[in-house]
Amino acid sequence: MCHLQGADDDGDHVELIVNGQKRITNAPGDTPLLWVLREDFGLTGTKYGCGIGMCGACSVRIDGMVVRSCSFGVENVSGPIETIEHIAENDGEPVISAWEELDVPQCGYCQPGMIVAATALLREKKDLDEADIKEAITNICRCGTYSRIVKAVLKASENV
Amino acid sequence: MSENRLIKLDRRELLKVGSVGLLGVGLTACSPAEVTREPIHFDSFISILPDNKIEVVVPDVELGQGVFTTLAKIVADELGADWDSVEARIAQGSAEFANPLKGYQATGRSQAVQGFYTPLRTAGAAVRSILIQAAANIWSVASTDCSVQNSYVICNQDGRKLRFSELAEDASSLALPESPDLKPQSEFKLIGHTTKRLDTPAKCRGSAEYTIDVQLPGMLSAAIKHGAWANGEIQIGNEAEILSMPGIAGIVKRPEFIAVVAEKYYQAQKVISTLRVTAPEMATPPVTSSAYRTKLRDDLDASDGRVLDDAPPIAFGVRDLEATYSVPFLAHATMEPMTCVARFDDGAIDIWTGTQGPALAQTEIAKALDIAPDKVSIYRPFAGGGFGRRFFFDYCLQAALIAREFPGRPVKLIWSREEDTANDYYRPAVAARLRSRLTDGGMISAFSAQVSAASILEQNVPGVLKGGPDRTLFGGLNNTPYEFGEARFVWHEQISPVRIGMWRAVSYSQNAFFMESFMDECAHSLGQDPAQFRLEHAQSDPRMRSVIEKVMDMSGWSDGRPLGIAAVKSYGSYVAQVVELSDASERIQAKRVWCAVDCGMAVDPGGVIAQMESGIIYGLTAALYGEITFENGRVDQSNFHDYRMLSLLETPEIETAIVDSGAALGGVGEPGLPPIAPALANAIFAKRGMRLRELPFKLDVN
Repeated sequence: MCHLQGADDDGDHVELIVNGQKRITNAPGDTPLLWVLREDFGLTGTKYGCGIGMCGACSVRIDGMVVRSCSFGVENVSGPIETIEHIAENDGEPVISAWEELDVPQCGYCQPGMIVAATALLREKKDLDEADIKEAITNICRCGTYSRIVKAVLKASENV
Repeated sequence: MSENRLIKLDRRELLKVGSVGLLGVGLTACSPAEVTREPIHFDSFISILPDNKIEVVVPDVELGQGVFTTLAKIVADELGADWDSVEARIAQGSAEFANPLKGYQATGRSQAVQGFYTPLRTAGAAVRSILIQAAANIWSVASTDCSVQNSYVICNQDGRKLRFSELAEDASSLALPESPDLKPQSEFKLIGHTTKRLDTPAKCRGSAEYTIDVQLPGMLSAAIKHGAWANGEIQIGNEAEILSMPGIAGIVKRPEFIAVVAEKYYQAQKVISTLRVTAPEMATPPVTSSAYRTKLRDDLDASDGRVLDDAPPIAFGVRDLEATYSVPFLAHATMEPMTCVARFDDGAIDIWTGTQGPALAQTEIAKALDIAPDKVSIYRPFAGGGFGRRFFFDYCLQAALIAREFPGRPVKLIWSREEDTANDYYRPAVAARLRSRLTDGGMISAFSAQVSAASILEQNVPGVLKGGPDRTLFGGLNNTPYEFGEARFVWHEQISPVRIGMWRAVSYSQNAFFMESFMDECAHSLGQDPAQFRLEHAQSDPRMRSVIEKVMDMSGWSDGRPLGIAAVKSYGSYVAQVVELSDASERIQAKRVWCAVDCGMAVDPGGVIAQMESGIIYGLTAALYGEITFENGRVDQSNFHDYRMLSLLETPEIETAIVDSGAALGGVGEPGLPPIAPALANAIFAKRGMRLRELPFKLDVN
């Protein structure tokens, strides 16, 4: 378990563990994690949607917990970060196959965040019903892929 | 066929487009090996790669509506390509990709498949015929003895076969036939069948590239603050201090916006909120949306409306029905806010953005920079939603003007959600009064509709109406499948105090609510079944009748449960929907929605169903929550907390059926939306006896 701190002794950079690798950013400590991931580390799968933590397009996992990275200062990160790029290659696989089987995405912009949320939900609870999914996933989709998302999470829950 | 635009591009030009395009449209990974491979380009749409992959250039932008897949498969089916080896790429801005139904390049009015179905089939068939000819020449057999399958040409006599890629070079020296034989429908393997979307894998893994994801060497980022400053005399109190910060590249000041440009967007965005702008702001019109709404409704009493087609006045009697409805301004709220990358260098500009209107953007950027239109190149990544918003080019123009200040360096302009919400081209607020004369036989024998609305066309292209009425304001009122005997349509012209534009389904988004709510009111007033009442008035339109009958059947309409129905013809397609409300009494919530659609042949049935679901959710959001208000020219809403979206928890179960009428192709991106608001209103009436004539339905239903 890595131990992370905010600003180092010089106060001019922050060390992070991102997708299993040590990364350093010179961004000020209050910079939203979202932009550090996107601009400093080139991890553009995590999207900007609202900047106020409402839509969930920026969802990542920190220490296994879903965090809306647009509203999370980089100095507050206290555990390893996993983004969609990493989750897709690891425990997101059953979720993504269900997503592909049902052809869930339309514009697709919210989908990485949806998949991060769904993967976390399935880790928490294996035996899901429709109501659980609807209660748990509060991310916003503007194209209206919601009904397929529910079906895809149910399908993924059978394969996890 | 001459209008087919099978223009052979200059090879150097194509290679340039190819390499830049790969950077811009990142579905295909941009490895050096892939950039240096030598594809053979047959026409604007089709290239064959050495590894026997087929690349299809799709002329429309992918906004979520699925054209990336649907248009590619139209080509692939005619070509005889192995679907698993087809790669698609979104076309850059170019007149050769003009939609034949429009005459210019734009994605909208649900016309992508309608417009390109025949040109793309023809392109696929033409290339197939020269590949076959090339093989026949090698084998010294007649071309009629050859066929295609899974990207091979096969000799029917002995089963010999050659890959398309092995034939491509020979074939490219043959002339493309102008009128190749098209496949009979019975031989379609992809068209008419559901195929997996080509963009799904990348969109699930975070590797699909949107404009906001474009990364170019030396790129700067810009944050923007809109305003209206008098005389361009903008003073920023802390300008020198900001410009001295490491990482800040500059501040661009224009009368209509200020942009902070920095090495990182997060810095630009942080700094822009600290600007101390001291310039006097231009006086904004002292208009509020509530006063505008009152004016819209009051003007329905005025006698000076413009009558369409000089229709004579209708004599209505005392027992005839009249109802007044209204809808508010709406924002598009695409998930990806307005974003554009621009690079200005040596008198030319490259633009990356998922625009719906590249032709217009190109013209206007050229004008603003005073350069020739052919010096403006537009490359299009995926768009994170469009719904009409990305037809407008305001943000592209801003990016171009900003980039001009930093020659040689690409600049990525990202609007914050707050700027996006407050600076939209809003769906206009509209009020309407509908009247009908009802007969003893239970029919409508005369109908009139007065519409009080500003014209999107006139506001955006002043003078375009030349004093005449804006007929586009009447879609869903004066072109319904219903027959009423007498009919009259009147426009009470308004000047909108805020920018207005096309929003999903445009005038149908409000008119269907008026019309289909009113049909319900007429039916109830006559004591008739609302579904049956619609059937009676659509006697001569079997397509309308069959979607209504289908949705009645699906929903168990005749059981007598309290359900709401609406049926709308728009963009060449017919859609009927039935809504059942949840029993929760504390709020209005649709529990189930049944949807029957006849869009002619469904080129991709799965895609059609997805678009119906999409239109229903988009329309439900508007019906339940959508409302932009303003005071003194300032929009009150700023983000998703006060411009609310339907949530997963509030999503009804949706069941869609496709009715195959064999009719000509219709659109699907928009037609799913118009029926949902009136079907919901009619369900509320059926279940609770309340007639709601104003959107959104935010009333406390207790």
